[in-house]
Amino acid sequence: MKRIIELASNGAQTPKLALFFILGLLIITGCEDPGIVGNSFVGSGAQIASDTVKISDYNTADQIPTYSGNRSYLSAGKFDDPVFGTVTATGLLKPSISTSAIDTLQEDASMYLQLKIDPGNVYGDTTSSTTFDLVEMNQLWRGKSWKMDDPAPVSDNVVVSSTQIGMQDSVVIELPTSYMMKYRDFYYDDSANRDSLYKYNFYGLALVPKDGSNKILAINSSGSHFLFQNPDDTTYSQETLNDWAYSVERTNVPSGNNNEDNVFGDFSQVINFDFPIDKQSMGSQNLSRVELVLYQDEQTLTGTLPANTVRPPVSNAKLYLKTPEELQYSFDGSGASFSTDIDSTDFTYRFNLTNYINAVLFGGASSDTRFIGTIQSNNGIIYSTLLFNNEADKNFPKLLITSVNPETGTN
Amino acid sequence: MKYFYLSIALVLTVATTAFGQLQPKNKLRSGSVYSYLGVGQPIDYRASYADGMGLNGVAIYDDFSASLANPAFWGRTYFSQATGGLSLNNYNARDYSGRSKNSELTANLFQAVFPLVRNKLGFSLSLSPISRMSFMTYQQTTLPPGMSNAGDSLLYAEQNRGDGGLNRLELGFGYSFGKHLSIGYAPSLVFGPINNHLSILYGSPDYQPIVYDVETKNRGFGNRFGIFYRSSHIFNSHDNLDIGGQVSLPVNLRSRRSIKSDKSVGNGTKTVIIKSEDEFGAGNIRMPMEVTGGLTYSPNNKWQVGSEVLYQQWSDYQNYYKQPENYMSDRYKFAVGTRFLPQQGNINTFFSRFKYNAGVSYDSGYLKLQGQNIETLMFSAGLGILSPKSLSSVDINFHFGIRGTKANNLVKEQIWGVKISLNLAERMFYRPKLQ
Repeated sequence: MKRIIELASNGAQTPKLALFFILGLLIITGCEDPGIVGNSFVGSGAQIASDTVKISDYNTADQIPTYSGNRSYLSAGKFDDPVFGTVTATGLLKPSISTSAIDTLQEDASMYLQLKIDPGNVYGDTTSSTTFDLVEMNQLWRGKSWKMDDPAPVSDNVVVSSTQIGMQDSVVIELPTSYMMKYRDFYYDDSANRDSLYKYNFYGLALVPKDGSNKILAINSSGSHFLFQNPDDTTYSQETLNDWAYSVERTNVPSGNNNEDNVFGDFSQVINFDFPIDKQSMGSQNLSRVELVLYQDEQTLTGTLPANTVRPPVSNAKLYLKTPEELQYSFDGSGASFSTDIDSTDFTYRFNLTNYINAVLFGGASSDTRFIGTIQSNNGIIYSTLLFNNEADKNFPKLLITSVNPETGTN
Repeated sequence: MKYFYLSIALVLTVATTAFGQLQPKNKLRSGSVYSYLGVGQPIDYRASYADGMGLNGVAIYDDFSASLANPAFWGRTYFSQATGGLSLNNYNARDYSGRSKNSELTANLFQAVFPLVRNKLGFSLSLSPISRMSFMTYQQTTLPPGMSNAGDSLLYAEQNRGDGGLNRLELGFGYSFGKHLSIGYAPSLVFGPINNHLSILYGSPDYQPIVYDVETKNRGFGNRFGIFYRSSHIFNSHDNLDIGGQVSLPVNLRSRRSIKSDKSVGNGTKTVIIKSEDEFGAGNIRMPMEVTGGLTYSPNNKWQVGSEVLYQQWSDYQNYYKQPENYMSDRYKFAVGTRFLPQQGNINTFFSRFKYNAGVSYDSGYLKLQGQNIETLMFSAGLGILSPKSLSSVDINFHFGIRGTKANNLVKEQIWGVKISLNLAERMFYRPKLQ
């Protein structure tokens, strides 16, 4: 205070005095507590708008080349699905021929096929057994390039006839000595091109389901082996699968309702749609959420299944962004742009497209692609579902757009 | 003289910085919530030396301090003058649902007045605010199920921060017809942005927040006229009776509005124009006419007593879309105040170094919400600190008042604040006879 009076007494120091006051007041009033007042007359400066946009350009695509070899699983069996028709899956297997895996392979050694089965992904009647013939293949095939709709090239040589597999998670099938000897010849071939000879002349086996089977098995490829045991051995030597694949044939497919489409996880039938992405179509540029909703016909899926029958559970869907040119080639399921789990309350798949739409609207991202939708995974298990299409009255594919209208309330 | 120029430069720098609103965001930037409406709170033309009296000073002339209150004063100028300063206001607001405390630091004005012919013809150059928007509001809304795309109810919050306001760049002239009558005229460029910064935040992480700015740029021309009359020896040989008035004609602003928004794209943020000025089209905001009249009686050279009436025709206001606002109401302000100058010309004692001011004003307000005028009762007091070695001074004025009401869930504000003004006066362009 004394200093203030001194400053005040000296008029030449008035700027200092003013500065002194300013600093003091800044310190005194430095705290703010912005609260909520005035709601009775402060109008909303924004309005939340909720719009629904039907996706008109919507269809299915079944022309995409689908490859089924060397996936995590291979399917084998047969099932008459009341919704998706009669599905016949033939498994193809070929053992490796690694000398490091087997020390000695005697002429009287035993050879087995051990199949690791995933009971949780059985497709069909869980109370039945599936009957297979193990038939020798008669021509070269490659898992990597095996198309799912290629017919399996089987010979007349039935190696094992009518073996039955129930709901166990693992089964060991003994193969005849003649088949082991055929394998042994390549194993002990000491020519320089042994591997090449094996590749082009040993074709492997096909798991061919027999009529009367009513179940398709999901066989785990990494858990399945060819086993070898010499007479004096107490343990088995094992060879992994060198190549594996499966073929699928669908017959007697019901025509179904025209307001829904079959969709398969193996890409043999996917949904294919597009919609314009611009300010007019979106209705706003202030997009808080753009959600794509696809509806699953859960009532038909579950209501038509006979007792004790199941389908591999579908709980996930994915969207890919592909140009029409890219659709001419296969895609392996990697690089999905969007993925979502099913909403079990209303059996919908809800994709959050907000970032993508904003990137197209404001970031210059290309919108020349189309949306390709598929379900679960292309991992060798036969996944199937029914999705409503744009012929549906209510559950048609749609965009739910939540946006902010910025002009409301502006003076 | 060098000190004078340096001081002008200092005041100008401070004023322009404050006009540019370079204060840290959200610190000392929120004012009255009532500034949400229209183009913000109107700011009166005031003389810093009359501020402590609660008056604008339309009928109070000071030889040593520049005044914006009445253009007629500039014709009576003898010394070159400059003034500028800062205001700090504190708002404690309450309604039935909440309370808030905000502070606002702003520039008052910058003004320089020069005599062309001493005591005959002078001109003024000034930059001053005429309205200020400075508020921050926060609202929460819950959309019930079925009213949004969310399956459940959707909670969102809206924060609205407004700033900006209209400023006046004015070049005016005053002319005196002898000792008694003066008149003045001041054309001006009125300009300034009105900004609303809105943020929409959701209670669910599934929804992206939306942030956007609504900017309205305004430009127009204004005209002010002033008159001042001084009569002496009314009741005794030392008294003066001053009568003053000023009229500010309506200002039609050409306004351009745009909406911009920051969008997250990839790893960065991009500002995009949501709606351009061309899409909005030109707007026209109409600011109302203002008339102020005052009467000051000085029984001697120590005391002054003054009163004023201000009228602003806010019912004539038009918004951007050329529409009247039904919440606008004509504004009347009545004020009385007194001023005490202990020792004119003799400042050798401590208390004689100050000028003492006090006053009170009633303002009917320019808003009428839910049938209630948003009135303000303001008490003012101030000190003028005189310089013993020059003609300059510093005015420090305090005010405390109450605005609004809690009736009908409106907002009642307690306002206190301080204004500090630096008044410079020099005799320029004067060649002493003796070097």
